[in-house]
Amino acid sequence: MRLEYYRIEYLSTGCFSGLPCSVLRLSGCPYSCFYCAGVGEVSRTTAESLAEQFREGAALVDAVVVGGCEPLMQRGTLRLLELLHGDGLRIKLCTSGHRPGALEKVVASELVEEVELCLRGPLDSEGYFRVTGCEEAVDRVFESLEVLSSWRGHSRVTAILAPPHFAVQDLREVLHMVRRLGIENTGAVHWWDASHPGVAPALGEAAPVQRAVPWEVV
Amino acid sequence: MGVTSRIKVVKASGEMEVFDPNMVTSDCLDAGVDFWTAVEVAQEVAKRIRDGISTREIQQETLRVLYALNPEAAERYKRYHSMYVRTSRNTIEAFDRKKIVESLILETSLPREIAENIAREAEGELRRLKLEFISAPLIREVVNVKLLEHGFEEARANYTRLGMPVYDASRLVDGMAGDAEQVHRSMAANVLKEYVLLKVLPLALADAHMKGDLHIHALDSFATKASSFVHDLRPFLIAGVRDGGVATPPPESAVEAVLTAVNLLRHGAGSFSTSQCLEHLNVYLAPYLRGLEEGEVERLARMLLYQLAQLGGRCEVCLEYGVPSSMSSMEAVLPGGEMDGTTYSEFEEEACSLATAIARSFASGDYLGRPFASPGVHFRLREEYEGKEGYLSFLELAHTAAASGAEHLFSAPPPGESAAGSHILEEGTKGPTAGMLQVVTLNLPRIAYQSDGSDRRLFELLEERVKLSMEALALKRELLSRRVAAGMLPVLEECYGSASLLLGVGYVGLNEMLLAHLGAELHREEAMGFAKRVMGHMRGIVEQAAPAGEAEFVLVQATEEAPHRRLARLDHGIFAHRIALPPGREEVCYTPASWVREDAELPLARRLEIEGEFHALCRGGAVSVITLREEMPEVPALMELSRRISRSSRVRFWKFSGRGGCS
Ligand code: SF4
Repeated sequence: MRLEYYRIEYLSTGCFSGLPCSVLRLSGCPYSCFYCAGVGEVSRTTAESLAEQFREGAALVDAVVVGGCEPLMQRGTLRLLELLHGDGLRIKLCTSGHRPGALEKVVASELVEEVELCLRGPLDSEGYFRVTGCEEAVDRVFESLEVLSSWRGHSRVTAILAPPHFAVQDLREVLHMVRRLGIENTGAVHWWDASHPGVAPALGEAAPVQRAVPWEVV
Repeated sequence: MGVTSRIKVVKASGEMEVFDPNMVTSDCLDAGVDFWTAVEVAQEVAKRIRDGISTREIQQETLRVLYALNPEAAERYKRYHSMYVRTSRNTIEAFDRKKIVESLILETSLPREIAENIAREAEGELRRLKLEFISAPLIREVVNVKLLEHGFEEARANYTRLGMPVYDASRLVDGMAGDAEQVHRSMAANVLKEYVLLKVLPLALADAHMKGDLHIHALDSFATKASSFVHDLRPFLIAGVRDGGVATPPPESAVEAVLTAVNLLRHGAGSFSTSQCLEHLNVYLAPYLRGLEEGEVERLARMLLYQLAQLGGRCEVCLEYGVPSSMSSMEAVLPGGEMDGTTYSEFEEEACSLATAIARSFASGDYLGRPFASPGVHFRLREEYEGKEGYLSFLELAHTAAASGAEHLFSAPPPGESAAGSHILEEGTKGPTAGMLQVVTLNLPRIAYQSDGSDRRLFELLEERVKLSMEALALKRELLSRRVAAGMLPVLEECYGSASLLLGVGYVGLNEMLLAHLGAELHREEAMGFAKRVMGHMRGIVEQAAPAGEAEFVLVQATEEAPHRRLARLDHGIFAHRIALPPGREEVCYTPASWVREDAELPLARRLEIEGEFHALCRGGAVSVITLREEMPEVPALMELSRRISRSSRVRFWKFSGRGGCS
């Protein structure tokens, strides 16, 4: 099954708790964030071929972070997760929460060990729209958060700040809402300074401007 | 004459000589004054001079006498003697052709007749320029041109000056790269490099280096020092260090033992140009730690580190977590240099605590928290240490140090393997000390360009170049033996009989060689078979060769210098249309040794499997570099990665780096 990706990082140390991991950044994005500078060239391959590569590297790196933009935008992603899971690899999915249906399928079939949902705006329609340019974004994010709240696996919520539309002051409210849904693991906040245009921070990767800090500290 | 014969003249150089009237006559004759006038002038001048007169004053006196006798001859004399030389002794002297003649005879062994002829022609050229002052280098340049015009090429090579263009010198001084000491060292290194290329290496080898067929490492030290050395501290703990005129006693305390190690490296800098390594350092120092509190051990570790960091030059310490089983029955050197049959196994606890303390000091960095650039550490992660108390925290500290940006070395020696630093020793070799006397690196991509797709030609050229590099290495061994015999390399001399001495054939750009020859890079399935053939062929020639004296030839991955850039740039100039650079590489440089190119898309395990295939062939040392893109890598993940590499990979040595090879 076909898949498009931007980049594979075959070794990362900070994305999968305490383990060396690979990071796959799939293409496909439902948003048009105001600070987005594009993400570069797309390579085409198949889920089978990607899985083969990760299998080949499993002796040293047996954890894979599948991120995007939004990895669940592509139909082949589910197949890839099945193949990786079948090979005994440990998987973390990084999502924007834009495909709650697909996310539900993924967590229901226990394909992944961890899901990280990355928020890109304050949790109200207008606020999220201002950052992402997508009207239905916030509703879909809420649905996805609900999927995660009823999942027994390891889920975590992070945020990418983009002042002034998504600023430190918004975090208290966001944190409150996320906790109300029963998601305790709120990970870290990645700062994104919109005055430094460049490549958008990828999901599952550290933000380029400032290192991620624990949410509570903010 | 009776009086004048005792009169002393002060020369421009400040030296004294007895006045000789014939010199005045000769000066006049050189300027075209007729014989009788010259004699008359000399007699008159002899009457007028006093003790302590300078040569310059004698010339002025001569001119005055000449004007009185024959104004026209005086003008001729004045014109002739108005050319002055700024000499290399920092004096200004009147030009004297005879000095050229004498220096030509001394430095080039040319017959006097030819020397006089060359000097005369050179003088003619110089006078034509009508300069009041000329410099000694200018005279040499003109004389060299005359030598070349007459076909005396070898004499020219012997007569030429060594140095650097004023422009380069100004850039060094004004740029003050590093510090003033660095400027001095760079200038001296330049002169020595020229000297080696001009005078020490046979023409074929010098040309091969300059053209870029191969790269002779640490060229400035080729005639004077060995490359690197892995020290065994024990003989120095027994007898102290003899540094120049001072002999230190065998250390009695932990602090003295640390200073002994530091002194050894300081003293060794005179014998080794690239790096020095202290093997099993924490094990050898362990007996001196008995009874010390934890805090004292920590302080000692910090002291060791700061002392080594301030030494200058590259040095490395090898750390073991405790006493490896291969050393447990080894008799320990105790304080005062005593040996009473106690073995190192008795000092297991001390060895562990010192290893941990040293690793902790590295992990914390210097006083400002910056990582230590030197010394490097070689952490040995043996399977036998797994499960030992405290090993996990030692591993964590080691990887914290590695994550901080310093490129420390890790290895997981298989049980029974004998190694000194990163050199793998043959069974039954002298060990645990080893010295790499010299490394010469081959330009593999060039061989591919020159073989035009023919396998046969490629292997012929490969053999030719390997043998050429071994010629350079054999010459180096011979030079070092002479230096050792002359007492110039005291530390090397002390270890010469007991160490395994190696001569390393290095190589650069296996990846680009394959790309040029097969159209496929090293990480492609179709290239691997050919890569193995190339490496096997090189190793066969190198290791089957008879040792050069007491030194044996080995393959080595020498990556501490930058031949991958120099050789690629030279190739770019010659084979511009055919140069093989991987897609997307912006800088003209080759992939070091048999590394997979840093930005190739393939899993780490596959990368290390390919590179590990060749580690075993490189007994002189081989390392894989694992590039970390994160600014602050996570230590637990690094630790886990190292453990997996040590268990399942064939790479012998690895290090973590934030930088790739080429961009
Ligand atoms: S920043 Fe990322 S999520 Fe936003 S539009 Fe660009 S690619 Fe999509």
